[in-house]
Amino acid sequence: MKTISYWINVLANGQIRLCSNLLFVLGLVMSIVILLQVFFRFFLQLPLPWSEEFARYLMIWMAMLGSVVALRMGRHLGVRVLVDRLPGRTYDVIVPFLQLVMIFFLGVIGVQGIDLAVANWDQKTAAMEIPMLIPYLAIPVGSWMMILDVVADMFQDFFPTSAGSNAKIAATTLEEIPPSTVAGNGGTPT
Amino acid sequence: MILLISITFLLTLALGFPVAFCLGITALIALWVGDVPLLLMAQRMFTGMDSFPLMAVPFFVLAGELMNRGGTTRRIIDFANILVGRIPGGLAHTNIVASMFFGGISGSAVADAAALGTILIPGMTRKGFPLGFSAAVTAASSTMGPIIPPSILMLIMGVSTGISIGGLFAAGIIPGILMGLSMMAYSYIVAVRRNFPREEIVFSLKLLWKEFCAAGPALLAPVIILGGILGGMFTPTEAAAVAVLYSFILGQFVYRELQLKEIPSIFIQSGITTAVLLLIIAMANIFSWVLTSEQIPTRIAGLLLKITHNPYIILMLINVFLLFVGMFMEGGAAIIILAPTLLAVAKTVGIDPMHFGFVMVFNLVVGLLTPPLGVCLFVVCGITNLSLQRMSRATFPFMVLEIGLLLLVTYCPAIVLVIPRMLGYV
Repeated sequence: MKTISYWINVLANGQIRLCSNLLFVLGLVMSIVILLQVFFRFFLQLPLPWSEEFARYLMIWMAMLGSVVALRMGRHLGVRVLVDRLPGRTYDVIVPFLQLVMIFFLGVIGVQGIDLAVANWDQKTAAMEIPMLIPYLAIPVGSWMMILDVVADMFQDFFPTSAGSNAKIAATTLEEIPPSTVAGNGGTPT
Repeated sequence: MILLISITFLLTLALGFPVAFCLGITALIALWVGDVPLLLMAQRMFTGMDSFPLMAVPFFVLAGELMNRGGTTRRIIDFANILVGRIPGGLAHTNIVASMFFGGISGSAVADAAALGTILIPGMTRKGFPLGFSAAVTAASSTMGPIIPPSILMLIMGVSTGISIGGLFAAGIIPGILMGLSMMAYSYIVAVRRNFPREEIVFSLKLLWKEFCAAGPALLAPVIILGGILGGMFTPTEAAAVAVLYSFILGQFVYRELQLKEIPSIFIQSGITTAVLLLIIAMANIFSWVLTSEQIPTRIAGLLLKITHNPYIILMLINVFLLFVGMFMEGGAAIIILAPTLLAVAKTVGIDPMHFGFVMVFNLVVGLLTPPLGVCLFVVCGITNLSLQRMSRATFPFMVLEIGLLLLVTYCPAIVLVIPRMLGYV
């Protein structure tokens, strides 16, 4: 079991590296495309017909792949006031239940997302005329990858290995906050 | 059904599921009970995110992150400090004024609280301010972020109701400034009474000019963003993309503090933040479909209109309702789920849509400071290690102040509408 746990977590980490790299590429291309759109419309008076649609689909992929990374790092926003107050190890008992519910939920989205993508596989997008399958696939792909995140976390909880992540299910804040700086040496204004 | 939906939502929230999953799981159960084809879930998620105006969100997040790592935050703080640091309660005022400038660059309170809090809270405590007060000022002033344009909440409001985004941005200018001034006034009173220190700077025009020159290029960003949108040159999304380019140039060539090898991690960090927001928006879209199919919004609207047709009382009821909702729900999700219905009610009794849209955003901004889901409190708790309880208690006076301002903008629509009117949005 320990070996399975290790390799699943290695897989999840690899997936995070892949998604992170893709986030960089998607964000960069999205920025460039919209800046090109501004440039063409503004300076050349030659609006691009495809830029808006292209950037929109990039954003949907960004949302789903970014969610995969966020889940692994425990960066999805949640309320922890109550669960953090539970006595002793009560929360540890609840966690597997939460994880199973999340897997089930993501499974539904994953299956329905594939259905949706397949149902529209021969449709073409309005501007670029690429198959609708490509943007639609973001939803199931993201969901299945998130399931892998949760499964890896479950294994990690029962069979801890060096490859695992110690992130909690949800974080309370959106931004990553440097650990307590108050006592330390944060910058001072002049 | 209403009971099932509310219980499931609150239960999942209390159990610590991520907010996006609370919305999604509740919707799934409701759809399953109602025997609706679940294909709808994937469909609604997709259409919820498939929006061009919404793309301003990732760009504003990215621009904020670039500015922050490119040395802009520090210069804004220095400039604010020279402007207001010598008033009793010095750094508290610096904090508030820096938040106002920052609000003009970023559209999110969370980014504001994280960026300024990590620098200013340690600075304030070292100068002898109590930790609670320093934390409260930071959390409260950061909520000006979504009021002073640009604003992610206003973008979502525009996307889900069709109210002009540019108009909403224009509406936020005066209330945002009032917010800053009233917080400064309150801090002044507290500072005098409790003898808080002020900054000892030998003021000279030369120093002011020097700091102004240092911060100037950063302060130009709001002018470009707002001017571009309000002048009709860019859509908000395009303006946000231009802001990305501008903040890159600023960090790379003007301040030269941005390192190229940091760029990928900036994109990744802002991609994650964006994804968290967009997933909530996607799930809120399923949730709002469920509510609509159960005709819950229509029933709420009917109930409100049965009580009264008096616009003043309706606004009061909506305010109370939204303040309550703001305690439990993320702002963007609340807008997607509730704004279309409440707007219809407002229109029926003759309230100006833009006025209503702004009041709703303001309500949810107060919600950033109310536990259990008070996102700005969370950020500052994270920085200071204060408990949520102590944090909420310290922030309470500021919350009361904001509710007072909420009443003001609710019942004096002129404050909100004068600039949009001047620009021809109303």
